Amino acid sequence: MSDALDHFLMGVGGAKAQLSSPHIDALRDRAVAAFKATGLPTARTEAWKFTSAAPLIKANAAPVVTSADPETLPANALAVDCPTVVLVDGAISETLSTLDNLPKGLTVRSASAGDAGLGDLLPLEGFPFAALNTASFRDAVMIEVAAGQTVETPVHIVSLSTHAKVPQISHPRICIKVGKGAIAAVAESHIGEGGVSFANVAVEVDVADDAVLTHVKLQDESRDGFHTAMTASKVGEKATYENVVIQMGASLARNEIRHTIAGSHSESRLLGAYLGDGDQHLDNTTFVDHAVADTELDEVYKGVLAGKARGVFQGKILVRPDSQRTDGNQMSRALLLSDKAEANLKPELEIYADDVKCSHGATVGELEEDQLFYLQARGLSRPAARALLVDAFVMEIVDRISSTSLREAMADAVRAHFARMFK
Amino acid sequence: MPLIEIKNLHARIEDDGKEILKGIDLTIEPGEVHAIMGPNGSGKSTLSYVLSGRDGYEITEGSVMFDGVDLLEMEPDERSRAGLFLAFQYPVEIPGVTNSTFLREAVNARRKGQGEKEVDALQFVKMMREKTKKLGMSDEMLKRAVNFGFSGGEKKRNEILQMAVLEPKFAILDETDSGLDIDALKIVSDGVNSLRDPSRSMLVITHYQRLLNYIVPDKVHVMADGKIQRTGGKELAEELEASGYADYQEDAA
Ligand SMILES: Nc1ncnc2c1ncn2[C@@H]1O[C@H](COP(=O)(O)OP(=O)(O)OP(=O)(O)O)[C@@H](O)[C@H]1O
Ligand SMILES: [Mg+2]
Repeated sequence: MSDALDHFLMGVGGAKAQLSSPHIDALRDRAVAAFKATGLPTARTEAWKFTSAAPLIKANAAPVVTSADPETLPANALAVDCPTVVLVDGAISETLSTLDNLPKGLTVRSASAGDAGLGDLLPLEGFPFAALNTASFRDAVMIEVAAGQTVETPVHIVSLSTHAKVPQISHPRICIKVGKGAIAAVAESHIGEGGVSFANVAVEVDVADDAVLTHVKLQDESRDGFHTAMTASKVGEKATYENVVIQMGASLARNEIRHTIAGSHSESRLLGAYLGDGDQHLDNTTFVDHAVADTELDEVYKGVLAGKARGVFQGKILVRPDSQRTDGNQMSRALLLSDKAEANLKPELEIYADDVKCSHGATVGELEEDQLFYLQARGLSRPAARALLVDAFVMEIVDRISSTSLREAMADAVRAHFARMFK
Repeated sequence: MPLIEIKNLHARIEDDGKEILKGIDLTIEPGEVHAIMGPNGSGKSTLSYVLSGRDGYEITEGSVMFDGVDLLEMEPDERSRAGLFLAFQYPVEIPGVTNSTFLREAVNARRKGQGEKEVDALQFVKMMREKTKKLGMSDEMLKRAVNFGFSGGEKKRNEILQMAVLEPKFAILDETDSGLDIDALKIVSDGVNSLRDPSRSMLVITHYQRLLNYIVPDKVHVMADGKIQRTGGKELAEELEASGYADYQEDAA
């Protein structure tokens, strides 16, 4: 086991050589210690109950030290016409990024040009992959929206894992700060060129008081690839945070969100869909900490699982003793399209306040025979009927994306995926 | 050649083996409208489901020819594309799929099946505006999810709208009049009558003679205990209204 730990830490030296500051160096030291103390998830690790980390460890992936920018990007990133920063194996590509015409109030830079706030929100102890990212990231995208600014155009981060002839691991890192009263939208696309590439992502999101952030993520890594991601977010008073994650790529993926509701009268929306087929394993793990009173959470996750795919949703909601008048709803639904597909849904409420309105529900089901027949009776072939019902099921999530351009781009990505899945 | 020819059709529920249709014989010529009346549970809806190809029934005997082909060999969607239409007794709700998407998919499935070009969005909107107006439906209903939260009467109108759009050769209306108010009954009947055509046939299942004042049938059949017990003209419906089904049920028992 300690061999595996050491192997994972092989990239730390190279990363330090590429990005270093007193703040970052100290952060890395803490992260290395946390990674060693925590160790890798085992079969007995409760937080990894439904997802085995064994394939991630067995891959024995080598850290990416340098990588050449590709001529072109794969076409499966979200198609949004907006400022885009491209990460190639975790390093910012100057040539592929288009950041010339940033709207007023928006700053996008490398952590080498300023690292204030980096590492403030991401937990390390107990979270081995977040710690590993912090120990090993080669660069970080720092996005800042100035207080009071409304930025209509989204900013898009495309994180590319280059083709891996031998298994390789990279550590894309993003830090988003939305100033007081600002309004912004951020999208992430995680894509790969193929091979066994392991993207271990960490994202920090700070939404200040009165601010509004729409944060959308598409996970469409190569089908042999791995994806682990930790998003640590915090929402302030009277602020709104909307997080929408659509996972459809990778052979094994785990998207973890740790969201702290730190301000009263704030609204948080955690929405997600995971679309698996073949032998994909897609894990969605969320933790929401209601740290103050008078807050709202709306969480909906939906899974569509075909073939031998397995989907996981673990959603924990913590309501602290003083967090009165919490309004929290969580709903998780999975649709199994084959006998061999499987879903593990685990809602978990931990409520210490007494004046709260919290609900949760989790259902696993199949397509309704009555609905399929009705559609067939109107001339739709059975595959077309299935596709229409599945599309409707998932679009209920996509349709809720507040940003029009991101919503449309995500709808296109989902439909392109379904076109392949249902052909 | 008859449009539909049902011969000695026997069907049972797959799950429990219970026989519901016990030898149905029914022939409908092009252009004819037939009505079926009969007590609750006599197998009327089962017949409509078996004809439209729903799963869960086992056909143990008999045959159905539709426009010269063996209907029972076809998938439900093939039957629909071949021109068969069932207006459901209980239309199904489909949350998340708008009525207009649903109708367009249906129209295009039919067109593709006939080797025609699909309708584009604009053509479709035009076509729908015309048809909904005729049926006294608002455009609003096209934007809503299929039958989702529709009132009983709205669901029935929606069935007729689908029929009007798909222009089937043979339509089965399973209690389309149930749950309609008097005005809606008139609108729906007018909708049905406007589709009457020398090449189009209909099978109207109803409990109420009143519908048959609006949609005047060529023949009326009494179905009880999984069989056509008697066939007559439209005066048979009036007779049933007065005497009920007692005679037929005793027969069946
Ligand atoms: N899936 C099923 N499983 C068991 N029994 C069934 C099933 N479907 C129908 N039946 C039974 O078959 C019989 C005929 O039902 P059907 O719905 O065809 O009657 P109907 O003539 O349409 O009645 P109504 O006038 O009430 O609509 C009933 O006794 C019903 O309970
Ligand atoms: Mg019935």
